[in-house]
Amino acid sequence: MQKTAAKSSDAKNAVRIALIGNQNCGKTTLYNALTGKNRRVGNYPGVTVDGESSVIRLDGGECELVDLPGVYSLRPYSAEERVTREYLLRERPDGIINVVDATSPARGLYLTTRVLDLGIPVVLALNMMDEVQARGGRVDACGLEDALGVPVVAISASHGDGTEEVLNAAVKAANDLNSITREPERVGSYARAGAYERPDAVERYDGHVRHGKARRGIKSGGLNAYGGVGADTYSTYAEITGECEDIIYTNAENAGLPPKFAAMLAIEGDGEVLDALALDKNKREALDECVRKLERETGLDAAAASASARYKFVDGICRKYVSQMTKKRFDLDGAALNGALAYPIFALVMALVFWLTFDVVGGRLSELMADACGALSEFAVHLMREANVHPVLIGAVADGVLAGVGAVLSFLPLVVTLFLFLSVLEDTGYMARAAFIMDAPLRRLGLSGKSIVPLLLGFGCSVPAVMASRTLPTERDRRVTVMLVPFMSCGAKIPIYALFASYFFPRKSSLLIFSIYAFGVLLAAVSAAVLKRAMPGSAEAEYVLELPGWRAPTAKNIMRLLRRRAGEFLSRAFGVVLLASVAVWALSSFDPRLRLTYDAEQSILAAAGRILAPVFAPLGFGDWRAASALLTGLSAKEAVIGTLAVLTGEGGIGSVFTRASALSFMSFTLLYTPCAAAVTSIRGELGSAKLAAAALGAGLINAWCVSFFVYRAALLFL
Amino acid sequence: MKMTLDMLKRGEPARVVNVGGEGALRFRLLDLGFVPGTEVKIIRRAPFGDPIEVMLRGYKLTLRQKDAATVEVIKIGGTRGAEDGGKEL
Repeated sequence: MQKTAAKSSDAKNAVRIALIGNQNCGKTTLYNALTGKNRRVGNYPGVTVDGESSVIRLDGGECELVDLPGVYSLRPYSAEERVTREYLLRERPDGIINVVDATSPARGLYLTTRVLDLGIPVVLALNMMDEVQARGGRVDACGLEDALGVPVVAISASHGDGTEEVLNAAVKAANDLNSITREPERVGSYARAGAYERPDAVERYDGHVRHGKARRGIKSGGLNAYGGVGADTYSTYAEITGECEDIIYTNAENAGLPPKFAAMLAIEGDGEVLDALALDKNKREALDECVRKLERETGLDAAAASASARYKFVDGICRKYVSQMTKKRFDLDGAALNGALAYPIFALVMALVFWLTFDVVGGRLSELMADACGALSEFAVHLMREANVHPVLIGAVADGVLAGVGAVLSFLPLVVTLFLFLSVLEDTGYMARAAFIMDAPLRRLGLSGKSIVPLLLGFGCSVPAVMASRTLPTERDRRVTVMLVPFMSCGAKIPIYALFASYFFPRKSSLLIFSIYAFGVLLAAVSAAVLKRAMPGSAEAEYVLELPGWRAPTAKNIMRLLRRRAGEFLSRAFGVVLLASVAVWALSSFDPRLRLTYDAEQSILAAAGRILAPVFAPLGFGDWRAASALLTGLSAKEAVIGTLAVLTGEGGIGSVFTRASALSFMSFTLLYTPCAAAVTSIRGELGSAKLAAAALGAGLINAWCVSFFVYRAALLFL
Repeated sequence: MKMTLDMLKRGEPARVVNVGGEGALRFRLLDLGFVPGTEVKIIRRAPFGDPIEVMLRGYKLTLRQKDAATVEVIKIGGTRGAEDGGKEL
């Protein structure tokens, strides 16, 4: 997580404004527009993986803007949604910008009713108003303002229209409240919320949101806003939740929870909130009585009654202030989701992406980059020799630092190109369609269609792929997906395959490399089937996903994305890979008695390789040089080739491997422990060192066994 | 016999009567707008017939057949689609 908490302490005096909205409502686009930051914005529900914040300078001081994961309510469903609720309750921002997609406002406004329960000043940003107008619809922002009692600003985040206004309105709302109630503590939020209320809004909205101790008298005022048939369920709900709020009021204050919010969730039986409230027996009974009353009078259970009442209120508003759009949205679903065409199209799209990435664009750029790095490194060595720099230092710089930098840079174009294409697919909305059609096959493996995004990202780099698994709804789905990501052969392994394939199988190298990828996917499927039985909990992942509208990808988003992705990869690689590269240089330049050696055979690395070599003998490469190369691969896969080149010297890999053992080595490379950076993120996402160790251990055993069989089979056929 | 969302034919307009099921998924369906009275229809099924794509409250949602089976619905006459907001009776 981009430490939102740490950042907020840096900017203590800044007004903190949180962005809240449904998934895919344009929240991150607004955040980007306001901060100018290169954050990835995809047209795939749930791209904001974690909270992120920036400090913006304003005329009258500073404002810290926090982008939170998209949610549909404040009852968390996935790990990333939990981030939103925790932030709102623990950190209590000074103000909230609630982003609502104006093209289908009902769901967004439903969330608004929940956000209002928090008692934090809210400004509503009606996003995509340009599209609403273009399609012949209308949303009355002033009407909504009256009905909800909060400022409403019509915006178009993608064009930057109205974005400044919405931020200013939010800061003003937050400051207005602060100037009225300067409380040192964050408790007592109810009073703060009360102070914020606009006098004219009370009459219309009180029945719904501001229905508490102090204002019991005006409870049915909210009915004016919508009237009609739905009123009964709604007023019953408002009345009963008001009673509950009275019951739990002091407990909520003691627990530091907004009383209104706590009352609503207590009624719906939210375990966490009930625990935090720690109600005594009498209060608990009183609460249960309220719930029974609600259920009796609405004929629904508490959760359904709550959702119904809120949607009735929202529908009332929509009937009054929203006129439907007359023109349809541009839609490719007829083709993309067609029964006969869907899979061929998916296969074609993916083949195109991979071909463009690994051959046409990324592949060529990578070669160019590698050549350029090589030339620069030689030039640097030449300069240092001229300047009479000590040979050890030259070695450290050339074989340690520059080799590491070169490995990273030459691999950068591949990763960036793949992420670029995948992000274009997300931005257009195709990725959500891919999840829809891939759900059935993935489901047979105990996964859900939603796992498609992390798995595809895995072909670029495991680190962001593992992070992307946070959008999955259950712990089990997340864990299984994280464990499968390493099977998707990452971009850093390509040079290894390319070297071996072109050396030992020059005529069939492309086919061979493709087969390795397919082999990885196949083994992932087998492992998933095994995990399905082995992992506790429900054997099936969950799948409920919104299909966002199709959208033309914008150059702005793509350029932003490109910079961001490149930066993300570089910052990781320059940390871990550079360190690893220098370590590998040291290990191969000193002997076990820590004396400098020019003979790699005498080095510490070689000594470790010799100890390990017998383990790999059954796999056909029981050579210390192969073992040493694999050891360096633990730091970064880019290092494997470099180590082999140094250790095999003039003889090349032909002096260590045969055709059969080359195949075995390639499959071992595909399957064994991923690089240090990937291991760190896997450990983080699995949330348990034990589980991570078990997964990695199983991966090693699996790699050994599979390579053993590959070697034996290859001996028979080659 | 009870009619559930997964039993609808493509394009057949219906109204939600009740959301069964349990746990987080039920909460999620309620939050997404499957409340009694909401208009809903099936737009298409994925190539293997599962999951299904439905339209409610002016947006498209995809969910699995077995989860759709927890949503009890009643068919409504006429050809009016669910695009017009999914309003109550």
